[in-house]
Amino acid sequence: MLNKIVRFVLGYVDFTAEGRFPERFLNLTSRSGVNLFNTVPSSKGLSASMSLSDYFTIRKIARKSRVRLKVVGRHGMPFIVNKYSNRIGIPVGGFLGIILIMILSNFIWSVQITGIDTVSNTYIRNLLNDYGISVGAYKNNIDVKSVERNIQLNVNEIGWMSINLTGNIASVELKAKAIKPEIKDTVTPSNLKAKCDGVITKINVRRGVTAVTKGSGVTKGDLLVSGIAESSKENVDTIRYLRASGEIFADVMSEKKFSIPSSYEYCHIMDNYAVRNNLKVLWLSFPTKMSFDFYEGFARQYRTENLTINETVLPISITTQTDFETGISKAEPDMESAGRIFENQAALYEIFECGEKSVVSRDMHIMQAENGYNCVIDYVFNENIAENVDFIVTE
Amino acid sequence: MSRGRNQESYSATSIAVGAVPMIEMVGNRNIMVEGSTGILLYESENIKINTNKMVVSFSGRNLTVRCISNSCVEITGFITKVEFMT
Repeated sequence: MLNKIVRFVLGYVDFTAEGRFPERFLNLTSRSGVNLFNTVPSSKGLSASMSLSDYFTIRKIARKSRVRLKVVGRHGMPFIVNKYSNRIGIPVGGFLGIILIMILSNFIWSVQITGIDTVSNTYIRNLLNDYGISVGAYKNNIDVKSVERNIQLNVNEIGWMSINLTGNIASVELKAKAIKPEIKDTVTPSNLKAKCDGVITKINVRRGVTAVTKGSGVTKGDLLVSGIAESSKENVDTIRYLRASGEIFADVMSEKKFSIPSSYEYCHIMDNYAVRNNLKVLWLSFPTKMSFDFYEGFARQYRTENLTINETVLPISITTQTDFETGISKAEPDMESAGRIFENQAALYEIFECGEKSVVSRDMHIMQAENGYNCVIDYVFNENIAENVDFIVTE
Repeated sequence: MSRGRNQESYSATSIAVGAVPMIEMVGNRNIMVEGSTGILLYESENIKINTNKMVVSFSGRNLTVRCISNSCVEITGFITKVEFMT
């Protein structure tokens, strides 16, 4: 293999030696230190190969051994160089290519962010951009340690950060800050009291003395589970103070009111939109598609696509900016559509505001008022009504 | 007991100075001849190599000289016969 590489670099020729004494030609070449290879005898002489530099020295030997040399093949780098020597564009292009690679290797081509889900990539990209780390940035000017330190100090969600400039890629690895766990107080004596009125449906006490029974009604502030445990052993009364814990579930009545006006305006996206494209190469950005439509009200959307070859992100991207025209419409809902709106509002309320409460029953009343529609919903929720109330023990 | 000329054994010194050829065979496909003074015949069926004391003839099929230098010749091919002509 090494032989082949050396021969290719130095160049070699295949030739035929035809004449009366091909053996003498072989002997003379070997004695003069010329290396022949791939020698194959033929009817008129032989064919062989030799390095390009040797070929110029064997003319005398050929005359002496009365053979006629004929080159049948040329191989190797010198012939390739010679072939393209008249095309000045190729060496110039190669030289410019090398210069281009040297220049471009000093810039960041892509920024890769990994390791964190609690903070959005867009936010981190903007943050890095503020500190000079973005596509097209001159990487020799970046003080990585300083950027890491500043971002970690300024962003609470980030606990650890590492920026690695490998080649043209800035790899940013992040770790979320570990949130300090809430330490539950298990020592201070307390009672469980009702935080609202209700009818008890389920009792689950882990510690303490239960003061209510299933099916009994309680009002806000009533004692549910006592943290004072009394015991009597061998005629000796002892009192222990506990931190009561457990869940007391109760059906709780609740009322929720919604209202909508009889007519209102709302903003919505219309059919018209304008698209503008921007081609960005490193830090250079120029428009490739323009639009002269401008809207009084619009919603703007950006979408950026990078050119990727073999999973390598190149510093060439196209950003599409789309402006959707927005308009304002007036709505005058009737009773039926108002009912649908209230249904939606009630569903949103139950999902986002009611937490762990489960809905036992819902009774919706819609009324038409002067200015619009009012809705009153009578809910019955089943929820844990127990809350810890600490008490102080004095000697 | 006196030894005849045919029974004379070559010493390592005589091989080293090239007085006699040293022939190394790998099966019947490859032969290395050290102590060559030249090729006398080069055909695909027969190759004759001159040495100081004899001519060594190799017969066979598709015989080629793979490599040749001042005193060494490597032959490859299907060798069927080796002759020593003194």
